[in-house]
Amino acid sequence: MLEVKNISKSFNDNVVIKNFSLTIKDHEIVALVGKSGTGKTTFMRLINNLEKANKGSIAINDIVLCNTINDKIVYAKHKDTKKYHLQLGMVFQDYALFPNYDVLNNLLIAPLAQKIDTKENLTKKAKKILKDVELSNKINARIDTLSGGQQQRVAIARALMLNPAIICFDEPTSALDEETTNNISELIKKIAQDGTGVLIITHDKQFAKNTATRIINSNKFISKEN
Amino acid sequence: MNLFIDILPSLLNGLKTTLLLFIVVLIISIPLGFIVALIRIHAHKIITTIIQFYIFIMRGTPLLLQIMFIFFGLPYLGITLNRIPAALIAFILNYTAYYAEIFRGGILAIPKNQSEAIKVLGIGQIRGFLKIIMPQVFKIVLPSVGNEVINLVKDTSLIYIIGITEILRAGQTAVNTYATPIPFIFVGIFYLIITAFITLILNKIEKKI
Ligand SMILES: Nc1ncnc2c1ncn2[C@@H]1O[C@H](COP(=O)(O)OP(=O)(O)OP(=O)(O)O)[C@@H](O)[C@H]1O
Ligand SMILES: [Mg+2]
Repeated sequence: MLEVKNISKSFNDNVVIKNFSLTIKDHEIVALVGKSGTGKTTFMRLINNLEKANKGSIAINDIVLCNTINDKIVYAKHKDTKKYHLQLGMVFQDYALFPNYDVLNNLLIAPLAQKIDTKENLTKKAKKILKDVELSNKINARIDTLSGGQQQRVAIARALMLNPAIICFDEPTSALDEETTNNISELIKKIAQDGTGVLIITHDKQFAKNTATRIINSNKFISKEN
Repeated sequence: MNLFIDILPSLLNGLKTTLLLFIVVLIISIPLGFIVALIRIHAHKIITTIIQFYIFIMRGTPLLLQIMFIFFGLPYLGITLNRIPAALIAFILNYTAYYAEIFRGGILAIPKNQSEAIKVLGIGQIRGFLKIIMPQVFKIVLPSVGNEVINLVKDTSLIYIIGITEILRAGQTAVNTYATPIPFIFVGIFYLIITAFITLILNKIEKKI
């Protein structure tokens, strides 16, 4: 379960998020929609610790990334943020796969670095996940030989290797055709069924309706009562 | 043929000096250039400005002038160096600047999302840099680094100005002694053999990464 409470974020004078809260439970799929420039990516980057909040608290399954005490925000120590990151998967809009590794090693590098399991077991697991995302035949392919949709699925598989409690997608369908979009939709639903909470940023209303259990508009980032 | 056998020992002697300078400069200035590039990207503004100034001087003035300054100029400031150390210092300072610029370009060419993915996946900064960022940087910079390596072979001839007998100077002495231009052709062939060898190695590395 992801818990974001009273979070605020500005870039200099530009207030992007003010006192916003959101909880995502296991199995839940939340779609974040809204106008361009309203802070959707910023919100996701806050959750992923790629941007620092000015105020508020963020935690996954009670592992705290940041907390606000007496109006002052405190971030977890570097060592503890590693534990937090273990709870979280992120699929970047442009995938951010590692071009100097093949598909299998893109999946293995993070869990091996974190010493989650033996290489043998992790390889087994990677093969199973690649089967789930229908990429068994691409296991040793170089990243630049894959299509956009295939890269997207490698990125999802890479995030799933860490068994995240929450997984984030930034515009997962912006580069995909209708059929591939539907496949990704099914895949995300399956991930949620297995117990993961999902946050998706999307401009595609149809995709949001088909996939999400809840839709939130980013115009709520700056609440009126504040 | 007789001529070739006669002058070979002195040419080989000169070649030794050329290769010594080449190898030492290469081994020191490539890693040093990489470190300078990293510092220039990540350090505070003051240090960055100092590095920028250093690179500006090194690239904006002839290497020949730099060699002469260190060997002939510094003694007037109380710093006297032997010929070989003076040559080495001048070359290392100069080539480090060029390599630093090449590596900086390579590092900046890596998309920001690579380091963000490393962070989000908990791979760790150092491991991520070594296993993910650096291989990509090397792939990008290899052609430019290769060019500079070949330039370095040819630039070593500049040290004749401070009286070091490298292969070109050895060749010139032979030309004067035997009153024939043939030794220059031999010298040219030696340079071609070295650059051909380097090109071969670079192609091998390029295929590997
Ligand atoms: N690193 C940054 N520095 C300064 N301002 C930023 C930064 N990142 C985002 N912003 C600003 O924050 C606001 C929200 O940007 P964000 O990218 O989160 O919007 P978005 O909802 O994801 O838009 P889109 O739908 O176009 O992707 C914008 O006004 C943007 O200019
Ligand atoms: Mg965005």
